[in-house]
Order: sequence, then C-alpha cells, then structure tokens
Amino acid sequence: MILSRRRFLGLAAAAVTTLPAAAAAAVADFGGRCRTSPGALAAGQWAMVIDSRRLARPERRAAVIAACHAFHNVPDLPGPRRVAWIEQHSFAETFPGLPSAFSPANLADRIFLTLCNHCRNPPCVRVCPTGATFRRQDGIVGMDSHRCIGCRYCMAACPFGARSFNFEDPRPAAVNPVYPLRERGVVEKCTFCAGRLSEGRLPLCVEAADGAIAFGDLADPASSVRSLLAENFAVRRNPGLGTEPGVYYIL
Amino acid sequence: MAARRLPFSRFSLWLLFLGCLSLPGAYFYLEQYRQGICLTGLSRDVPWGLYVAQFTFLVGVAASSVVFTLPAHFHQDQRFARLLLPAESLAIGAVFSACLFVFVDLGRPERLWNILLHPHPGSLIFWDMIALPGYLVLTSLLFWLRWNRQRHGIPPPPRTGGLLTLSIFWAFSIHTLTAFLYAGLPGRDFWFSAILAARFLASAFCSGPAILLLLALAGQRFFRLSPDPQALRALLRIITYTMGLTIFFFLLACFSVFYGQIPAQTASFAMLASSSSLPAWCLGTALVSFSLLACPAARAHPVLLPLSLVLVLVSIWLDKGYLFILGGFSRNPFGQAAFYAPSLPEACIALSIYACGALVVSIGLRLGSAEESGLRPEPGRGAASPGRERKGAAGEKFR
Amino acid sequence: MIYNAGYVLPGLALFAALVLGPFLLAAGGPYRPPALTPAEKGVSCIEERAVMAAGHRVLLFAWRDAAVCRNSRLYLASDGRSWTVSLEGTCLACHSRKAGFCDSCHAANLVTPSCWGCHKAPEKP
Repeated sequence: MILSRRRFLGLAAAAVTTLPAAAAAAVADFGGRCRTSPGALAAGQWAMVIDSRRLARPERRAAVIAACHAFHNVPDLPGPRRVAWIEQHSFAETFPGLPSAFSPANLADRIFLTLCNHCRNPPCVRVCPTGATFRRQDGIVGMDSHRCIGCRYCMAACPFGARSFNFEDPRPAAVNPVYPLRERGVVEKCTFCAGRLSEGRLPLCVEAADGAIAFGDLADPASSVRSLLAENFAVRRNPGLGTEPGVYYIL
Repeated sequence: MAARRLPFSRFSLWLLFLGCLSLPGAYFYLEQYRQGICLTGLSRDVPWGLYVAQFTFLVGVAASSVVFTLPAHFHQDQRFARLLLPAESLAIGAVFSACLFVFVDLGRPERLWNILLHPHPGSLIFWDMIALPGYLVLTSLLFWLRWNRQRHGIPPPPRTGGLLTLSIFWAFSIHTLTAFLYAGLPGRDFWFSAILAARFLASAFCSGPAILLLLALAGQRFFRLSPDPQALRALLRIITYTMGLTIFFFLLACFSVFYGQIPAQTASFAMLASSSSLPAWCLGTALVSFSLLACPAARAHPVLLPLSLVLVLVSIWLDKGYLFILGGFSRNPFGQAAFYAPSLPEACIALSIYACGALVVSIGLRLGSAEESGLRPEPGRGAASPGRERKGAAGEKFR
Repeated sequence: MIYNAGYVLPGLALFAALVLGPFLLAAGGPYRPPALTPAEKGVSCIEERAVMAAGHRVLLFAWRDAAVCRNSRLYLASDGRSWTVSLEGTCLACHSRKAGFCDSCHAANLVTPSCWGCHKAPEKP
C-alpha cells in the first residue's frame, strides 16, 4: 500500500499518542497506610481570637512574630518584597473604613497582628488552579509548596494581603532543621501550625502570646474562643466581603 | 531592479531582525528563572504587572479575529472573507505571545503541568490553560486548511464550517475568561465590575482590527500591496464604533465609582490616577483618536488616518496593557498606595516576546498573501530575489 | 521506495549506533551500588531494604500528599510499626549523614531530586 507522506505522518502521530500509558508497576499503596496521628488536635472549625489590648507592648508583638518566623524559616527581607506569615498593622490599616475621626485615642494608636484568616469561604482556594492551597475539613486553609506553580493568583484574590511570594531564594539567617524552607517562586502563608496541631500542640504564636491569643474550635461550645466571643465584642477584617474570616479581634 | 539585488530578501532581513530582538529577552528570562521574579518590578502588594497585562491585551487581539470570521462565515460577507488569512495570522501570533507571557510570569514554570494533573474547574487559570492552547491549535488548523486550499485554488472543505463556528464562540470565550480572571475577586474593587467582559471585548474588537488596518495601510504605502478598499472601509467603521463603545463603557465605570462614592472604589481610582501621568495620556489619546476617526475628513486623510489608528492602539494598550492591572493593586488591602514600575529585564523579556509574536504574524501574513486576500504583491515590483520573481511570474498566469 | 536511500539508510544506522552505543558497551556487567554510609541507629528501616531502595521515591511522594493535603501524619508499616510522616523527623533522624547515604547513591545514578532545595538536612561531619 502506497501511503502519501501526509497520511504517514498522521498515522505516526496517532500511533504515538494512543500508545498505552506505561503500565504502572504493582506499587505498594504507601498513601493508603497513612493515618491521622492519634494525638492530633481535631476541630470542626479552627478559629483564633486575638486580644489586641493585651498586645499593646511592641516587644510582646515582636516576640510572637519572631516565634513564628524563626521556627518556620521565614526569611527576613524587609521592604516591598517582604515575606511574612504574621505582621503588624495599625488600626486604620487592619480595618480600613472602621476608624473615624472620633475613635478613642488608645484604639487609634493600637497595633494589630495580621495573619492569614483561614476563611470559611476563601477566595484564594477558589482561584488556585492546582489546588496548592486548599481548605481542610477542620477549617484550616493549607498551603502545599510542592504543588504551587507560583502564578500568584491567590495573592491577587486574598482581600487581606496575608500571602507572601518568594521573589528570590529565601535565605533565612538561621535554618531550623526540623522544618523545611521554601524555594524561590512559590507562595507561602500562615498554616495555623498544622504540623504542631497534629502533634497535639497549639500554634507557636498562641504559645508566645502568653494568653493574648486564644485558639480553639468554633464548633465546640466549651472552647476558649467561644467563651471569649460570647463575653467580648470581637470584629473580623472586612466581614462584608463574605469570606468569613476565622480570626477575631477584640478591640 | 538587478542593480539593487541583495543576497537576502527584505522579508528574510525582517525575520532576522525579529529573531535578534528575541535574544535579549531569552537571556534575561534565563536570569529570571535562575534568580527568581525579584528581577522584575513586582512586589508583595503588586503581584501581577507587565507580563499579565500584556497577556490580557494580547488575548484581546487574538479574540478580535471574530470580527472577521463572524461576518465571513455567518453572513457570507466577502469583504471580510478576503481578510480571513491575515486576521488568523494575527490571532495565532497574538495567542502564541499571550501563552508565552503567562509562562514567563510563573514562579515555577516547570510545574505548569500541575494545572492539568490536578484540575480545579473553579479556577479561571485552569480554564485559560485549556482555552488558550486550544485556540492556538484551532486557529492554526483553520489557517492551514484555508491557506492550503487557496494555494491550489480549491474552496475550503465543508468541515471547516464547523471549525469556524467553534472558533467564533471560542474567541468570545477566551476574552470573557480573561475578564472573569479579574471580575470575580472580592477584594479588588477596581476590577469588581459586571461590565468588565463587555469592556474587554469592545476594546479587543477595536485594537485587533486597528493593528490589521495599520498593516494593510503600511502594505499599501510601502510594499505595493493592493488590499480591497471595501474591506478596509468596513474595518474602519468597526474600529470607530468599538472605540466609541470603549470610551462609553469607561465613562459608565467612572459614573458608578464617582456617583456612588464608596471609599474603597474611589480610593483605588484616585490612587491609580495620581500614580503617574499615564491615565491622563490614556484618556487623552482615546478621545483624540475617536474624534479623528469620527471625522470624515480625517478618515480620508493619508496621515491623520494612520495617526488615529496608532493613537487607538496607544490608548487601548495603556488601558488594558498596563493601567488596568495596576488599578487593581494600586491600593493594597491595608489601604496604602502601592508602587510598581517594570524593571529593565522585565521590559526586555516583554519586548522579545512581542518580537516572537511579530515573527509568527509576519510568516502568516507572508504565507497568506494569496489571491483572495487582495494583499498579493503586484509582480515585477520591488522583487529582490529569484524566488519572488518566480512567484510573480506564476501569479501573472492567474490574473 | 525511499528517496535518497544512499544517504538515509547509513544516516539511520549511524543514529542507531549513537543512541544504542552506550547501552551496548555497558551491557553485561552487574549493577554495583556505591558504598553507602549506614544509618546511625540500630533500628531497621520503615520497610524492607529492597522495598525502600526501589520505592522510597514513591513512598516519600505518598507521604508528602498524605501529610500536607490530608493531614495524615502517621504511617503504618507492613510489619505493624508506626512512624511519623516526616522526612526530617523520621528518615533523616537515622540517615543523618546525607552526603554519604542519599547523595552518593543519587550521584552514582545521575538522579537530582528537587527535595533538598527546601528540606535541608543537618550536615554532620
């Protein structure tokens, strides 16, 4: 049979593309053998209540931020390309539109700790093309740096400016060998210390804040966060956007 | 003719020039891949800048092929049918460049396949990953089918009709998806507008035909081409009306912002307007170009017409290709003004990608300058290589 | 009917020789793995040696997805022991001399895992 060149090329292309995929060898199901750690803390909806009155002193806030950044190998790159999992911002910056000309003086000068709010309806999770950021059943918005392609769509989508991108190779001053770094080209943010929660320990910022930050389960009526929210008026950042943030601030 | 004979044709020299223009960008991109996106002017407050803006602009130019395919296919309008090959060349070059711009913007481009391996249909970038390469394949296929048969004087096969219909809907979709990238983000008030897709399409249907009309006028003036004057008149009409629509849609957005006076929206508008003089230039060139286009004497003028088209492109590029992206980030989530300026490596990479796109468009235009497009060079004029003379001689037989 | 067979066929033969040559020249000898620094502690590894040698890449990828995406950080080995899912905490706790263990075998097999960009092992002398 005489084939025209065009038909030959077409058949060759079809043959290559329809080659059966390499049969996966009988691989042991390693993933199926993984379980939740027995000592892990579980919750229906993790949330945080930050009492800003008890974090008025700058050294206390700095200690909280240092505890987080040192453990998680967050590099110290001040300026427009900073990487920060937890930051400090003024009242007007944290709650745009909330302050008025007649707000109390101690509130106008208050500095707040801002971090990822682990929203219940997170726009960053909606827009991520690979699922590198995802919402867990217990409410934590996780971050998989292995899968992130660095498109930064989540940074455009986050209404709270909680996410940082590694514009260059992060080189923290001291590397904590127990926790991995990130490479250039991926997004990172607060993870509510998911690893520590699975070991039964609270997040580092909570421990360093010495009671100023409460962390608990909103679905549990007896939790610390529920009792604090019942007794104090607490606000969330930009609640009108409908993202349902999980970080509450007692003003 | 023989006295000015060059070893290479002018077209080859043009391609070589474009190839050389792509080299600095390739070098700077390798540096950017090695060092990270820190080589650009992007920051934590402005995560998207020049690259994503060019992607937005070029997807619009790519989608504008529908201005030609829709009348030609649905209404058998022969004026547009003759311009189908050049329009599809422009679309192929534009979508190819748009894909390149997305690629160079990624922090970890080697993980691009994660979008397909772990699909998330809720993300617009997932749909863009499917729609843009699909549009590239579709338009290339249509170009090849039409060009191959035009070469031999045979009408296109019947199945091209189905592909053409698909490409019409696909072209609308790619630019609507691009608008959806921005229009669904709750925290970005500058972008959060239902009319965004309509604004994008209007400016796209203005910029694409404007590029093609400029190329046709340049061909008429410098390369002795003879495009169909009826087709050019129809194009000019479309450009005029869509430019008017673009300005009108912008004014609609201004009304909502400044009459509603919601601080978040007025602040982001105001921060963008005060960041540089570019917003004033954008609006100014838009109004001047529209005035020129609407004025019959200016439309017929040999200098004012190309000038008005250039101004159209300048204003739409300033809008979609720069200021629109910055507007979403000019006010960061903490209410502070954010600053962005492209760095030199960033600008070089962008220029080189444009050169690659121009290369693709040039090859397509050259291939497509066949009988029916009306852009066939008249034989015996300006021929600098034997190949050209032969083609000219063959062309004479069919005249 | 092949056009220019006089050029095409010798060219194909040359191509085949260039591509298959290294394999044919090296064929016949058994694979000799490089000398590896043994693990520090006396405990045996998570799975059998053969399984780990062949499948540690798949195991680590499965661990990665289980820990990060599903929060499943306890691994039940086939012999019933349970381990914490952690590269630094479990694997590198025993195989602490990365240069003598991980790197020597990877280098011999021309494998460049991208893991070490982020997961920094403590360098012990």
